[in-house]
Amino acid sequence: MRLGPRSLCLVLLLAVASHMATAQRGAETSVAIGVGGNIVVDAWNPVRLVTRDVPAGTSLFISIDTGSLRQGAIPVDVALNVPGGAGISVVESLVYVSPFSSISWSLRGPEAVMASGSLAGRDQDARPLDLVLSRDPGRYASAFGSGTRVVDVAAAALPIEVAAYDGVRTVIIDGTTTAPRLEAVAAAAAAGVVVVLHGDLPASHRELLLLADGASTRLGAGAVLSTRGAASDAVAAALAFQVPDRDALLTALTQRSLVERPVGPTQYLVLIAAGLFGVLVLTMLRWFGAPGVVGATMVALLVSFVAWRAFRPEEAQLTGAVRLAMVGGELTAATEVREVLTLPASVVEAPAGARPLLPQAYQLDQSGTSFKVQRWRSVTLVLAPVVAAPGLQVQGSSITNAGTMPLHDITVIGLGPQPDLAPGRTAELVAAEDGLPSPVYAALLPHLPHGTVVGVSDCMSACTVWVAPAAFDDLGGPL
Amino acid sequence: MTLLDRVAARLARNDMLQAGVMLFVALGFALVIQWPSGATTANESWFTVAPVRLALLSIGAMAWGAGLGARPPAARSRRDTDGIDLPILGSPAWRAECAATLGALLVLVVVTAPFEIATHAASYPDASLAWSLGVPLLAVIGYFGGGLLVGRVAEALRMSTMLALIVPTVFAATVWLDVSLDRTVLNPWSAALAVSVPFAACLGALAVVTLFALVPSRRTVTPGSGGGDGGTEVDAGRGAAA
Repeated sequence: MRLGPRSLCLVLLLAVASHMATAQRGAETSVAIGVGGNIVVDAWNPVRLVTRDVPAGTSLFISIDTGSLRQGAIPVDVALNVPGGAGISVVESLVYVSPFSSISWSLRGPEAVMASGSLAGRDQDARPLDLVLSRDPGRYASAFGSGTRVVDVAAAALPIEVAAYDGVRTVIIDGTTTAPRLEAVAAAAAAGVVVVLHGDLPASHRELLLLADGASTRLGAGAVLSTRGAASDAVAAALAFQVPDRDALLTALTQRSLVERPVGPTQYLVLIAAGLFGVLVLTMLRWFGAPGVVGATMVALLVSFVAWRAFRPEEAQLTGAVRLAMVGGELTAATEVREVLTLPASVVEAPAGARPLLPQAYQLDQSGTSFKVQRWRSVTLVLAPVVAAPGLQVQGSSITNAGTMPLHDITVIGLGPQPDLAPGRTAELVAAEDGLPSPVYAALLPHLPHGTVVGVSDCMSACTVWVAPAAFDDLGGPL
Repeated sequence: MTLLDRVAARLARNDMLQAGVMLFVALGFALVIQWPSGATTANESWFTVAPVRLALLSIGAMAWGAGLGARPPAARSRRDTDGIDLPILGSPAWRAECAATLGALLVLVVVTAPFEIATHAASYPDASLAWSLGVPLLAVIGYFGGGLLVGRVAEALRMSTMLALIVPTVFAATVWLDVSLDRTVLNPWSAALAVSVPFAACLGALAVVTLFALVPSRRTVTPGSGGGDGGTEVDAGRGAAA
């Protein structure tokens, strides 16, 4: 068959149209990492992909190189399946962004790369975000001053996952824009953000007042403040409110090894045992003839059995964990730290919201994260914070065990140890002489202010350290 | 005299006993220097003990096999008797000596197993325990057969006196071969650390041939074929044929 000029033109037009369709699809794809597309380094950041008309089998790949010139490449590979089909497709996830050399992403279909992008390491910023929901965000931006990252976001852009606020310091809502969702604001406060409800809020924002009980209300790891006056007053109140540094607390918690490493007998004992065994066997072989051979064989089998039972650890992977539960009002922000020691080299599997405490290459997908660990090495994982019910409640000068496990090793910083609490029991605070703090949380105490209540529960599986920061602002009251 | 008695007698002879002592000393030394002490908790002892054990057993098997394989045949033997210590190649005493020596080597495999099992338990390596326990048996039988072959070749080339050099050279060649091929085929040191199908295939084949050659078979001579009355069973002696 011979192709005429018209046919050639038709083929060329089809090729151009196909290329334009691919390019258009690339233009319709957006990937935002961080709240409002603002990445905060050393924090969990939400990832949001919006695309349309992608074929089945399409995946979003994000590669974060967290290495350096000295360390080499330390890739963190994220692979997220995109639901294909006609219409819009949205994929949301969370990724922890360590200081990086580069971030690159690509949307790959079964046959081709449909969109891609990258971010250089020089564009990274570790400063936390100050989110403003206002029609006039400039007033707040000027009040925050220089050196801060004030971001004007739409109410709908506020995520509802607690971990997504890891890189956010404050949220200011003045009621001049669309009202954000209550759960988004509650998630922000629980995550440790200082939320400021500024001025007289309109009726559309009234439900947010459910979170504020007075001028200052602790909620989870953060707080909800109510302020009036100028924009600078809201900013000043937000910056003045102190919330505990969760990263510092987690680092302190991991100072103590969470896994008890298997320890065998000493070298001397092994030397003596090996020497005795050798002498016994050789003696039997030399002087006892055929019975000696049978006896030496039996002794060897017996010693093998005993050695196997004595030296073999019960599990190939040993896991230890501790939870940090920061209590504020009716919410708790719980963060789990998990140390996994693997005896043979293996791939450690963890939930999707897990990141290594120290920089390390790993893979993340919708099913979870996986870390390659060398033999007899451990990896310490920090799970993304989640909201939980408080196991410890502070009301007035009394503390209540609201959980299902006994609370023990309770102490109030500046006041001293308190008696243990059974589930559902309430006790009045008492002044006591300072004793040695529990080794589980001893390293936390320098990072907590006076009046903070600390307790421990459920150490049979993984200790939960309950921290109610500055539950008692004035210790003179209970005393 | 049963095979067990012969094995026991072989083990009690000086050469085997001294080798046994050296084997235990080497394993004990490797075990102790690699056993964790002080602040170290990672137990890496198996990664030294297992290769040392397998390599020494393999070298010993090849050395004793070569010594027996290098015995001169009856036609060239200057001995009148068929003594157990210096038997004539292919004679019943030679086969009995081979069986006893191989049995003694297998006893050494068994009595040194606690070193391997204890370190395997404490080190928790990736390699399976079944491989760790099975590969020495395979290697000892296979390398014993390989030693017989090396001994025969050396004797045929009138180089029996150089066996003490030939055996280590052959082992060095196995290491060189494995390094060249970038896989474990004959090198017992690396075979101890990970499952190797080529190693198992090579040594397995060698072990089967060895056992086939050493076990005396009995064949029936049919009437009229000569060599005696009908139905007479004759000890063929595959080892002699080899």
